Amino acid sequence: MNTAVSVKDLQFTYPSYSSANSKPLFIDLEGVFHQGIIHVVFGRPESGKTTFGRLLAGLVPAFTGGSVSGSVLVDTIQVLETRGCHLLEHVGLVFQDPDEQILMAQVEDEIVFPLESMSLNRPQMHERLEAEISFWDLDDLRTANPGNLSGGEKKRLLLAVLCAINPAVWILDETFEELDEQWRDVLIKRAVESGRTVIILASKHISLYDLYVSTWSIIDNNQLFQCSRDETLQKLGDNWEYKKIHPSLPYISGDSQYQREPVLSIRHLSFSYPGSKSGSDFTLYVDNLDIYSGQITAFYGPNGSGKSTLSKLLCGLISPERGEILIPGKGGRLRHAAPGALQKYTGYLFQNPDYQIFLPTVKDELMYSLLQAGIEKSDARAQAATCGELFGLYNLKDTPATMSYGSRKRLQAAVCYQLDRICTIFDEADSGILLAEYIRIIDLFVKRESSLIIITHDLRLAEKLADTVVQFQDGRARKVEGRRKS
Amino acid sequence: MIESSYHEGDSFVHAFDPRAKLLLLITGITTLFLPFGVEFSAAYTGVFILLAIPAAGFRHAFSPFKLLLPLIILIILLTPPFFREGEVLITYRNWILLTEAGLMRTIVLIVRFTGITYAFFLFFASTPLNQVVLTLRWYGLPLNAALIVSMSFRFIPYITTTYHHVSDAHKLRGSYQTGMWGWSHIRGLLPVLTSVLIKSVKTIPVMAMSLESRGFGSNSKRTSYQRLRGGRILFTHFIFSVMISLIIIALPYVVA
Repeated sequence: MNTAVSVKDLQFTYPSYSSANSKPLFIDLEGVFHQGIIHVVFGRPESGKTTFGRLLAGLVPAFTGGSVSGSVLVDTIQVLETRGCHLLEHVGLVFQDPDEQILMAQVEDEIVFPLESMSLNRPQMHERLEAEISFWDLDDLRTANPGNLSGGEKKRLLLAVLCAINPAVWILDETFEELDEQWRDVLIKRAVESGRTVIILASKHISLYDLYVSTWSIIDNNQLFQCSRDETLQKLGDNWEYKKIHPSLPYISGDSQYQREPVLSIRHLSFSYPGSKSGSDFTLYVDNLDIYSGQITAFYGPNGSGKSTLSKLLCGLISPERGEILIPGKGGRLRHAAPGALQKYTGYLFQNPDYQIFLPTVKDELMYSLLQAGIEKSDARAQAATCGELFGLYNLKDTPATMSYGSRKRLQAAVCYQLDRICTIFDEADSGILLAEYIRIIDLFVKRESSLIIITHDLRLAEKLADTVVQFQDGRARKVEGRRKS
Repeated sequence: MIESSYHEGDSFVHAFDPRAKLLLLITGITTLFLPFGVEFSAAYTGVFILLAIPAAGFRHAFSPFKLLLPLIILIILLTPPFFREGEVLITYRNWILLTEAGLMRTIVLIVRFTGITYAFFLFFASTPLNQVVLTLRWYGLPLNAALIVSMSFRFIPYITTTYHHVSDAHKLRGSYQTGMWGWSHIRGLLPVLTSVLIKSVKTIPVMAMSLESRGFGSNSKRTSYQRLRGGRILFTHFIFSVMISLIIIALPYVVA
């Protein structure tokens, strides 16, 4: 079998910042990826999966700085000596965060932009554009502003771009995140049928890869280990299988005995986005829905079905057109809650952690809400250290801006934890972190008897974790499960 | 980096050829600075505002005012003290607060800034960014320069959207709340602006990385998928633009 990508003696270190000296991310990393098959590369957060993908695509260290040595060969091209723009037809990368990669103001333009760089003529571009628009079901969105698309739709757009270019090597950086199950399936089958060399950088969805992946590897301890499936998963640890993670927890084992009162009640609620001409005529309707104290409710459904919209309504970030949201008042009687009251009542972990963290160090972030609540500085410092340990943030001097995506997600959760809200919404908070870590974070909130709403595309996860699963389809919410499954 | 000020629509402003529209934009802005008298500038500004209604919809047509408001307040506060000629209109004890010249100058500045803002708003609200790039290239601007211009115009609404996302996130964190005033408003705003700044600065290398990953910067000649219409429509629109341009320049002389 021919070699598509070979990496030899790769060493890479990010530049040092004043607060801390960078340690080498890769030391003598070696690996071979054969042509025309699917490879999956696992890794914990901060192991360097994203950097590895960008190194293969010729984007690091050109735009990040850092010192690199060794050799990365794609076909016969020495990537470390080649600009990323010259690799367009050789290596295609789908970024983990779609907002970082989308450039154009219209869906169609995003797809044709790289085709223009490839000097294709108009009929060739038209053919590829139409094929991918149709395949990724973007026909109704072709003139839409990508900024207004849901997370999953943005991922589909980036996949349409990749398929339109159709490079020899596809690198999918956590691309299965944010896609619903139907589209995950479509993507993996497309990858197989393409006949291209596909490198999937992942941290979960093992069962999906079981059927289609040819080689398994893991980035661990600054090296790439190419081994069997079982060895890879062994190295990954008990981080990927539901049952192996905290089997004693009531919500995993299914022996929950909670009988609770509603903390949020939705009555005859409807909402539509004003003035949207390019999008669909989407309207959210939720007739009656109660969220109970100390319980986990999962919002499950395809991209753009209204999960995040309802969450924003429950947080008071937008106001319903009709209907109301009730919270317990004095004596426990439910009363109407204005948006301002909901903002102080419901916590929300945004999909993008960067919107919620803004201070120079982890310590500052963790102390911020405590100091605002009037807690003494020394006590706040001690509480911040404890919280940091709970969430795996051991170096409180770390700068959030330079931390990995997964670490920023954990910091965001820790910040939300400090707020101690009655109800907290996790908006696809499992993306970018290991399943075990996600469940560990959920566990911390559950132990505080917080009511949790988790938004997910993973029905299995929803059924495992949640007392109630609410399924969304075309703006309608429907309760489908009453209890957790063991 | 993916936001745009374009509003999809089928108004006559949208249908107008962007090359002819750009010509009108330049003429319109130029007339605001010609010595015609403030009433003509105000009338032209009024026309821009009226045209914004079909171009962007009633709800969005007045959004530029929100952006302009801080600037207008600064003009009202800072202009009159520098123009003390003419009849005194407002005094406080022995202090002259407003004279006729100060009032006129303030009005002229407000009208000009409003007119310029609305002229650009009209153009970008009714012209997709790909057509902006093609228009600039049609006028001879190199591709890289045209792309930089279009990216810059896209970056401003991107920052606005980021600001809204971040302020939402901060509202939920209790660091910034709707209805804050004075010092607490400024204090609450600081972390929001810091987050926006961090996110915007982080965007720059990522945007460059994304452009590179799309083949931008390679030596091969770029082709173009989108095309501007040519032929009779372009000719008609250009003739119309030239006629309108001549009318708006000649009208003050005719009236005088």
